[in-house]
Amino acid sequence: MEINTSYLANLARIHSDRVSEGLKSSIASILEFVDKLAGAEVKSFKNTNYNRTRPDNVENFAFSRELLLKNFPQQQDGFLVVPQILKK
Amino acid sequence: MIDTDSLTITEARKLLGAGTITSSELTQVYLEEIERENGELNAFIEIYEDALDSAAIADKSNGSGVLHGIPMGIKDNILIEGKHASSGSKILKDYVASYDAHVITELKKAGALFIGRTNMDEFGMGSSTESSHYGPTKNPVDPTRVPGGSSGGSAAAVASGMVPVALGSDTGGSSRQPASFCGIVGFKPTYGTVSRRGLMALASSLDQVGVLAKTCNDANLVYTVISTEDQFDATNIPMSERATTKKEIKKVGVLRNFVASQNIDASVKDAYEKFLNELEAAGHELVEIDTQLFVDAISVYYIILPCEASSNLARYDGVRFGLREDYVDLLEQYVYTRASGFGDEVVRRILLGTFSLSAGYKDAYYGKANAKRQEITATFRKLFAEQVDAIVTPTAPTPAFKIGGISSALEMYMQDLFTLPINIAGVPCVSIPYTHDEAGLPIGMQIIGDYFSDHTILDFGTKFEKLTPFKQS
Repeated sequence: MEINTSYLANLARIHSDRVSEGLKSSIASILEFVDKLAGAEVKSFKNTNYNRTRPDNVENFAFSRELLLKNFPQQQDGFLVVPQILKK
Repeated sequence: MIDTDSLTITEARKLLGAGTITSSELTQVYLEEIERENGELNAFIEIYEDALDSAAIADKSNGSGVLHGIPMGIKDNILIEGKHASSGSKILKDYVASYDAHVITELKKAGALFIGRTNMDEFGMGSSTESSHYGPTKNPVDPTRVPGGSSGGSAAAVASGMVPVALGSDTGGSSRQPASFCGIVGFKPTYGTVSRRGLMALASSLDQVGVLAKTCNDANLVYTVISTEDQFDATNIPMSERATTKKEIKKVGVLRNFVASQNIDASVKDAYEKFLNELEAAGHELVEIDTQLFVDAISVYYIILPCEASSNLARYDGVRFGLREDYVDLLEQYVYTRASGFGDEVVRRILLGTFSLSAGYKDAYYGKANAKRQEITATFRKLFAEQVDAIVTPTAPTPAFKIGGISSALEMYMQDLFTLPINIAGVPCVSIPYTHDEAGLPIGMQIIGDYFSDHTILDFGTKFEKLTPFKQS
């Protein structure tokens, strides 16, 4: 199976240089393995997975602001610093 | 003199209750064991400096929780407020949890204390604990071999007596396979009975918190504590809907022909046959079941898991937390941070998931896998409704293999042959240590139950432990 791993890496926001030849060939062989499912017949099933929904209310679930700030890779005056995306 | 290799929670609680030992003394004993063993095994990646302080508080508080004063190990992907948690990954190396996972809140209420965080395959992706950013964990039975994975740190910690019990997680066998490799009990609950809030997500529809313990009774105690309702996890099932009709296990589903025909280690085949004979001798009726679901489940799993993982791991971009590679351009920051922060197996699965979800392939891969998943789930439901009360299989196709012994990703995925169908269906399962191969390596057997029969299969495991006691070699 021909896989364009550079395209996939770009979609996944991983630099394409990171995808070694070994990774490329293993991805191809795994896809070849799971590909047998593509030919398998499947009956139509109703989704029985359980999902519990609740009203979208603000609940009493407090985070520590200090700990959140501590995890910011870069901060200034309590704000998260990110690269500029809008040019003047 | 406390033998940490064999001390169970129940026995420790008796000693604590009678005042024979304090929690501080007990914790100190385990810390000394860690000091002796962890340098070689690398089961713990951090020992909490406040472990003895927590034990001293437990001694003063005189609490009555079922785990009061009991030290535990916690897998590196479960959040404890104020403590580091990194899922074994460089990308989260310095991350500090800002809240307690639901299971941690419940364990704290029950009086447990936490001695440290245990090693794991990066983001739970692996069956050997070799892919951790912190280096591999070694098997305490034979340190040239892997402890299994991804909860290999928790399994090695319990098996070597560094801690009486530990939490792991189980997305495709990550608590059970390491338990089998290390000769202990590994339990995966029914999906939805243990909250996933605060468990770092790998594949949300498959992930469950697991328990690594010395006995099924200990696993049962911890499961009872952590399986409370949680409104903050949308997939957590209300108590009122957790009823089971399975109270006793009489008819047992088996895969005798499948196991005999597959490329499985001869020692595992022999052990399985012996196990089935003992079940029969104990009065259980053995029923050969359809094995196609075990064959199909591997393909289904290795489509669904990468899809969910590629989506869940999109949040690690160096913006709000974790590793950041500094670049002036935001897109460059994303791609270099993720390229630098993720290991090979994580990149592999992210790319596999990205492919399966990409335009033109989604229906053929993800759509088909989901439909097949429903079929597998329906097959399990039918089996338990009409044919059997439980199913038993070997936990893994081999005993523990050598570190570096499996280099092919596909071959590594086959380690999960027996364990991952259980996560696909969401049923509960426990791996119990059963016997050893000629080299003294443990071999485990797994007992799969119907939905919500968690306590039933653990009780069954307890009965079996009494019938054929397992001795660590």
